[in-house]
Amino acid sequence: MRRYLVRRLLHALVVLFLLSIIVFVIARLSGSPADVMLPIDAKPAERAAVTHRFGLDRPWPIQYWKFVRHAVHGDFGTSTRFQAPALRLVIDRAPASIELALAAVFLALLIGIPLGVVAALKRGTAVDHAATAVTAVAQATPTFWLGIVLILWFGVSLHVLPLSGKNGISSFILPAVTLCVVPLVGIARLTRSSVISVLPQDYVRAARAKGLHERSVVWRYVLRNALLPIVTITGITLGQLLSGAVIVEQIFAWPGIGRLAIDAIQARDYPVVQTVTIVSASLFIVINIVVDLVYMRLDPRIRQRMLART
Amino acid sequence: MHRLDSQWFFWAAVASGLSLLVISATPAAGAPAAPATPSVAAAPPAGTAVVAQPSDATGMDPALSRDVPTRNILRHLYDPLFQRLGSRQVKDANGPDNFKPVLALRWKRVKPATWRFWLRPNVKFSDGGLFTADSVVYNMDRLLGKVAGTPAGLATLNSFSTLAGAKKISRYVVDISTTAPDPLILGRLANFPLVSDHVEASTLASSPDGTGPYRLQTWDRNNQVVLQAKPAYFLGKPKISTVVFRPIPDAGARNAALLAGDADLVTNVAPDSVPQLKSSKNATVKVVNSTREGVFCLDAINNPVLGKVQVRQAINYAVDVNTIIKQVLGGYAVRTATLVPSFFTGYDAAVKPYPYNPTRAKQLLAQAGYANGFTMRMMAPTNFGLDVPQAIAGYLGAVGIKVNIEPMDFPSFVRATQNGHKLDDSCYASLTNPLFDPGPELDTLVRSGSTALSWYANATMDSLLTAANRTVVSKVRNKILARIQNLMHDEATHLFLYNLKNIYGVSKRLNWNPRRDELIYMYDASLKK
Repeated sequence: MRRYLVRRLLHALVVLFLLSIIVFVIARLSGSPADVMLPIDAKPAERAAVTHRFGLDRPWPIQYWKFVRHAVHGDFGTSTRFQAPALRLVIDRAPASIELALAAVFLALLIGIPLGVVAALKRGTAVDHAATAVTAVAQATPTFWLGIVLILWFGVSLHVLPLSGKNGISSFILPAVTLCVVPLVGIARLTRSSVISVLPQDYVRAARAKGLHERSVVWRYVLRNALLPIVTITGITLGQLLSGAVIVEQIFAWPGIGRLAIDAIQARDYPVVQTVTIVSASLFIVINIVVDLVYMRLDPRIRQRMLART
Repeated sequence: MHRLDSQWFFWAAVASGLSLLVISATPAAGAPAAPATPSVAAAPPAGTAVVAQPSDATGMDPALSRDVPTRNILRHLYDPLFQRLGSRQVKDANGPDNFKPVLALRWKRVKPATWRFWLRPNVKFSDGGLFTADSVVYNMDRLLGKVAGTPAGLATLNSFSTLAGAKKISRYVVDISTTAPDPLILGRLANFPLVSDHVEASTLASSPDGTGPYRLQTWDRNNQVVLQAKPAYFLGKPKISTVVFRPIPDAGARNAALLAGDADLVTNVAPDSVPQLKSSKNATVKVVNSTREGVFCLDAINNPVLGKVQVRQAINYAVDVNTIIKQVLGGYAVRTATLVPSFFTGYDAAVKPYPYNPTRAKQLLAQAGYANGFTMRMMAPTNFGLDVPQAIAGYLGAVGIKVNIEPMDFPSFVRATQNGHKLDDSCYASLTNPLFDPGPELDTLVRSGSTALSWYANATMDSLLTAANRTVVSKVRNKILARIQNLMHDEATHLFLYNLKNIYGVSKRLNWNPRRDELIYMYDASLKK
């Protein structure tokens, strides 16, 4: 197991290294922070001075080497827009994105799994058709529209929930509900098809033949074996949401890294763009490793296969 | 154990989710408690006003952060030497009578390029240090890059390209000089809040230190800035004890906050939202002519077709600007004959806008040798919107000028136009000018060789601009500015458009009036009882 984890971490370092080069180059191809910081009538000498101040007039390999040398010590540079350490800015905002992502995934699992199980158990009936219709409508609903509608209903008309910002548990509700819809649909559908594929299995029939209550059959035999693909999609979804749910953060003025990333891109704030990308990628990698570990826990056959490859 | 795995997984996830939500709702140990700002079904607490803007402050150092939302916040923490009087229409917007004393009590020109300021005594910064002539000298030295560790380019960033320096005369008297007589220096100083000279400048970005009527209570980045009134402010305690600035990027969400009573003042309201806000029972709308101009630049230097004055005049005749204002902007703009709003210094009412006359446009095109029209490109930065560029393209297409619109983000537009100073034939932009004087804007737009937004060359225009920039006698200067406007109109240097109006959503419990310079200054506001 230790060798497996070390191998995964080495892979992760290679991925992060390649990613850092890609984002470094792309950021610099998009323009200079001097274009955004200075008034449009700034003289060429002043633009050159600002470019020199940020070290952007040096050759790219030298700039990259300097970035790497500092990054390994935890210094990802200073934000050209906020005049603050880029890593500090990202770390300050990451919890808001993590909390929102976890809340959204939690809601998606809480509603999606039971919905999928019920639809699978009542396959072909009105309940199944209703569940399918609900997920189809949910999938077709644009996130930004849903967010605005929830704000108008619950924030303006009923005035029972906060409209924007992060200020207590109640402020999570509207953005988490808006954000959970897309993953909820995926989880519900995958649960349904996964449960349908497990239901005809011999061990399920054997459990029923033993006289076990249907709830026990579903929990202990059906769902446990149907969980593997759901674990995968949960991990992928969490990774995507952790990199910043930009639209939801914009609508609800949520102080997360999605908004930070958008503002940094528009301001050509290279240090923050690079830091957000690397931090988001790191979180994604960690989640993937956790998902694989959970896999191994749930299914010993997968554990044996993965460890055999190490 | 295996039989319990699925239940274990599910309930572990549920428990983790609940724990995390509880933990996240609990303030971190040692963190300052946020003040009681409204969260559910309640207006802001008594004595608190909430302002919703599109973005958060980028920093707390006024010399480094010049965007409007940051400027609105920092004006409450720092003071300038004096402040421009509200919206009063005056002939010389930067004359000495157009400002009210703040940190300076009176001012007088002592030499053509030097002003003397008598400062208010016994004013303290938040750190307890005294504001004196040394403080003014320090701030001017920062602009000129003379203070160690100061970033380059601060003078340009803060519109002080003519600044020569400051000299202490006595403890509360200081001279500020420019490189040549500058008719706008008072306006520039009115827009520049002063920082303390008793602390390290590098700390100001996160720990503001000024003489302003409020102090920073908390800055929860990208969530809210909370300002608390100073009871001992030298001009009197503010009427609103707590001001909260909340960044809400989405315009619909800002309006919703106002309608729900969670915000008292929202900015950047779109014209099509006005009916909804006006019909609400707890909010209204306030509109003011801003200093923002819609500008359509033409490359008369590199494009031989646009280099012909008949073609440029034809473009002006071809576009029905009044209909664009009515249909696209909802009526929230005022037609301008050139690029000078009616309330700017030197405005010449005798210069009339080009009338909409597509027949005349076609005649002029034929005279210029383009009876069948021609094709041109238009750069359209998306932050200024694409509705107006599309409307302009439609009108030009009707007279035979085919326009290919090139949407791009603003940094790409700056890069494209400043790198080699190239323009793809034309562009639409929106410029703001907090000095209420056309001089700086015209320098940007019609001076030859300008690296900004000028693709026009005329030696007579250059001479007039130089004379206007150096003349401090307002009667003489106004005559020069009138000549410039006439020349611009006759030469059709641009497609002349409009001056925009700013729309604000205001709670009915707030007594507040908008300013033309877009500054939101809650010291002048109060809450109804």
